[in-house]
Amino acid sequence: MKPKPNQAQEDIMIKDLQRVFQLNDLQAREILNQAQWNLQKATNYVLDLQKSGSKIEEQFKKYITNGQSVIDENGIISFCKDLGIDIMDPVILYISYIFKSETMGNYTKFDFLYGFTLLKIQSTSDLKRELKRLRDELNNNREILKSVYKYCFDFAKKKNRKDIDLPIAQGLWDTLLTNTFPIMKKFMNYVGTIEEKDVKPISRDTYYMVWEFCVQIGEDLAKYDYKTGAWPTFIDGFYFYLFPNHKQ
Amino acid sequence: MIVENEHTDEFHQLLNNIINQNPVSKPYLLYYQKLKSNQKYHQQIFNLIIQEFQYHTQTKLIFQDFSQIISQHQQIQSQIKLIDQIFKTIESSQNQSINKVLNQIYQTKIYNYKDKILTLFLNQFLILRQNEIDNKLLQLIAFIKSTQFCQEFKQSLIEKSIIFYNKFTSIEQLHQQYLVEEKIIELFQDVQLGISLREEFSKVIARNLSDTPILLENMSQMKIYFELNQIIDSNILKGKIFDMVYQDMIKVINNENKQQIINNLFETKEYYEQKVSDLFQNNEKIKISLSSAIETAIQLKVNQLSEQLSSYFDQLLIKKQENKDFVKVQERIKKTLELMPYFSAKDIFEHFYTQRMTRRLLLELSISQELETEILINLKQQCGDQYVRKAEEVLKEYKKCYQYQHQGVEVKLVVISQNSWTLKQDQIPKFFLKEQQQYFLESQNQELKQKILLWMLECSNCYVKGFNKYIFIVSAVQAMILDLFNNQKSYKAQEFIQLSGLSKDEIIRNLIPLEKEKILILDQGTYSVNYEFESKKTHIKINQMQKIEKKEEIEENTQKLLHDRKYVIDASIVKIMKRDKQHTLQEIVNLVLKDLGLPIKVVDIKQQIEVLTEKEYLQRDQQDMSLFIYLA
Repeated sequence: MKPKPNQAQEDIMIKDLQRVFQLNDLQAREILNQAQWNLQKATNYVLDLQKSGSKIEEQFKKYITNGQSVIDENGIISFCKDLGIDIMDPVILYISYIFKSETMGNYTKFDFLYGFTLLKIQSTSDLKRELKRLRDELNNNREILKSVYKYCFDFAKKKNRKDIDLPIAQGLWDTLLTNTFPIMKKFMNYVGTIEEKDVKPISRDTYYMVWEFCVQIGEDLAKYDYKTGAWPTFIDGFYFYLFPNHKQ
Repeated sequence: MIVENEHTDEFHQLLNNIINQNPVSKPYLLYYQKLKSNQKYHQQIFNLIIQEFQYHTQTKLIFQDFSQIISQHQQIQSQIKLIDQIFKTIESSQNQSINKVLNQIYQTKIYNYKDKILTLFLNQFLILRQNEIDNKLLQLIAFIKSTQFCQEFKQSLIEKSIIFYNKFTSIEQLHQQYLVEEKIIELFQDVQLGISLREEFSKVIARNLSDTPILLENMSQMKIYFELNQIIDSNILKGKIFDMVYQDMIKVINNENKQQIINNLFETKEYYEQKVSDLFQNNEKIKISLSSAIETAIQLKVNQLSEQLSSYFDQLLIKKQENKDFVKVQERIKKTLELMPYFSAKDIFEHFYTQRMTRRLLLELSISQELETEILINLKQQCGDQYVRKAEEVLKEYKKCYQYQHQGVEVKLVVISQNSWTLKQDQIPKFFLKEQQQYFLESQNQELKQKILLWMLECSNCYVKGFNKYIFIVSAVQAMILDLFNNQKSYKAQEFIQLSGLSKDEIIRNLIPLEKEKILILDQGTYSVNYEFESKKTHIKINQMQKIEKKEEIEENTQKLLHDRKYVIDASIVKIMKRDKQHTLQEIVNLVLKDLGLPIKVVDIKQQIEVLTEKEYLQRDQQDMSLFIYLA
């Protein structure tokens, strides 16, 4: 067996795969990973996907408007409508995660092909039947929620930026975290009190640390140590919002 | 029943005499010898003594009041002692010593009156304890120590003492009582009692110390306060000094009159230092407390105060009436320099210090260049090389100047290298001395070509030739104004402002001296040249109105400097992380604080760590969330 390629070699293989097929970095990486970084195997897998995916492609075409190559926001609205869910439903984020979709507000053909095949389904109505299971997984499996949460940062992030705007982060926290972590309700209140002039974009680190905060601290704020805890200042801000007297 | 015989009879008489305090007719030695020679009567005589003594104790001893008991006690003790001396010989043949037996009899008797005596003596003790130690108290303690209920007495004594101590409400009383109490403890020679009493007494001292306000002017009280504080080895005085100094300092630094702050601060500090030395023997703990109170207070406004400190230096070093006494100025500067460690915003201090020093030197306002140099050397030692580099540069260069003459204006151009300035000054205004400027730029010295020249209006001066025979030494702006009169006969102030692009303040400030010296005439808001100007001198120096540093300007510059600290923090973090590769957040914060020695808040450092993380200089470890790794 060949040794596992390093970061640079991986990137080259991803580029190679992308030269032949239209798929994004996440998907390419995932497929190559599955194929144990054997480019031939990965290529065959994608070819199979395309061969067997004619029915899924039909489904995809249903949601694109005149001549576009990707599903846009309107398409997503009708996709959600067919699934019988609100577009703010957290489960749609989980679906995007499964699709390994790259940017919020778009689905590519390959997103559909890849995701539907992975779920072993052929149509939107099949997906609708799966919804309950997916929702249960998202609500009950911390690991899945964590992966979806982390995935969403890149999903929501604009390509040329390293951070996301606070309102977007707010939306993600509200959708993904408030149900599972009651403390996030207070957290959202805090975010609401931040004055316009103090609003800053949310960095990846801060975004990830909000998850850690939910898991490690949660309701038990006595555990929160702003002196040695190495929490981002944004989360310190929440702590001081709750305990104004603790501020030095 | 003891059979009396010739020998016993004699002893009986003796005993009676002793017990009843009658004079003893024959010398003791005689009895002693008799006893020695009649050893077979020993037992008999021994019994006789016991019997007699017992009878006496039973019938004669009464326990009425304190003095009676004490004097009776002393009597009996001396009787026993006497008997003991005489009958020492018996002891060798007897099992029990006569002393012991007699004492036992006596003690048993006392014990019967235990309750009465305890109450009586405790009360008496409390009365006696309120005065200085006297004989009575000594006797009382000696008596109690001899009794079998000494332990009970001590127990009650502790209880009564607590009540007694708690009645004290002044530290003076406590201080007096302290000596009495120590003596009592010493007399009882009981470790446990000593511990208990001292503990209770200390509590009362501590409470009284806490309740007594500190009045440094009341010297005698403060000395007592200090002594008591030392006796119980407490931190009360330390804490109180801290609070007092801190509150005082806060008042000083919040003074509306900014000019006074530093001066008052020093005076306050000196006042307290003097007091600590006068009253508290320069106690280390209190000195530390004093200096940390000062430091804590200064830290509250350290940025502004560092600026004001540099202004304080300026006021000392500038030529003026108050600074005539050079030795005094030197002394004050020396003292001020000692305080540098309190003013940790070295960057801000440096900026304003350098700026003001340059102004002093260029305008020849400094009282002594040697002193300036000396201060810099001292500052270098205290703050580090990087904080005086610019000032040193200025000191080296300020005498360098380029002189040239063109169209009647003699320009003396002083050039200070660009690194001497922490912040950029305005560029030379376009219109300003237009011809001169062009001339200057054309004939620019090769040496200056490499440098970015910044125009420092306030430090510039020019020699202007006027009315064919006079040379006016004026400021650059005045030179410009005078030059303008070559083109036009009269100007309004507004026109100068428009032409030069300078502020109204600046123009007016320069116009007033010209008018005062009667070079210009002001008539209904219009300035024109006074062609009738006359003077005995040929070189006329125009006195300048000193530009007052504007509050807003200082504030603005301070803000800029504070903003620049972000980069300083960034550099420090990267330097540390590059060296050590990884650190926890807490470690980084501490190392940066140590590295920079500036008054930075932890949150500022945290924010810069976040910025660097975002810029991917650093990365948070995936397992240990407090660990940051340097990404090379």
